[in-house]
Amino acid sequence: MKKRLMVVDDSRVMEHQIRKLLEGTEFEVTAYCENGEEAIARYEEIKPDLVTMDIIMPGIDGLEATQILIEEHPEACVVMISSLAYEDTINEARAVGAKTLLYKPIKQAELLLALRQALED
Amino acid sequence: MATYQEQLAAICDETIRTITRQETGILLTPGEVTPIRPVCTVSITVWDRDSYLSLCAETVLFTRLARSVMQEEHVTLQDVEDVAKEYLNLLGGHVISELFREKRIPVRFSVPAFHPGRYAPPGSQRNLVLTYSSDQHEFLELVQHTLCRARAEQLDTN
Repeated sequence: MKKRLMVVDDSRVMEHQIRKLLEGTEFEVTAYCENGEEAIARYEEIKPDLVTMDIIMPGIDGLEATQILIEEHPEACVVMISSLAYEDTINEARAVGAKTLLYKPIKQAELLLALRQALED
Repeated sequence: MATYQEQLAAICDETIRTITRQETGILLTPGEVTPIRPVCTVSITVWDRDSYLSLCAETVLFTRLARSVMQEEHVTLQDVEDVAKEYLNLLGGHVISELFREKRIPVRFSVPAFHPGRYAPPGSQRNLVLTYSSDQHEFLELVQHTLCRARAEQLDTN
């Protein structure tokens, strides 16, 4: 049975890319949310195995959304994705409970590694 | 010692050409180019420096980008808009990350906005302009617009 992934990103392009990168793997995108508020509202209904979360989005940013999501659902497994590739961003991601941070543009190998390691943690 | 503007120009140039080549195979050559076909613009607001980055290109180039990124031959106008916005998001993030490594100033930026035609944020001035021609002679221009020059001048003295 495939692991179910919820993609949270205001860009449909990222959802499309992640879906393509995961074709033929043990993961599948089963839900897409355009912003953090939607992800928080729908998490209980969807109960994904993993969440990928963008940082810069309309409304609350991904860091705040992750913090709220994990407070409400401590079992949530979140991998953050961002184009902001400096160490402060990694530290901020870990501080709110994300498993790791991937830098855009993401490649299949690093996405799979990050998702697999996140599930093992 | 390079000024902030010179550093920004070098970082922007390296970033846009490298990422475009690596992600889409499209080659960009710097030069004085004017658009001959319809254009559109995407922009982001960069906080902490009261500046904006805008990316203006002939729509045919953004369409070619969209086909490459989506790995689809047929793309809709919405796809083109979405890809253009994500593309600037990617460029902006990498430029700002490099600036952070140089200046140690953490910066955030806004969600990208899409504008048909040319666009300049109201009350702004064009501070840095990088113009390119693609391998199919399409126009692309990356512009940094500023509202307040005071901090840019401060950083030049750091």
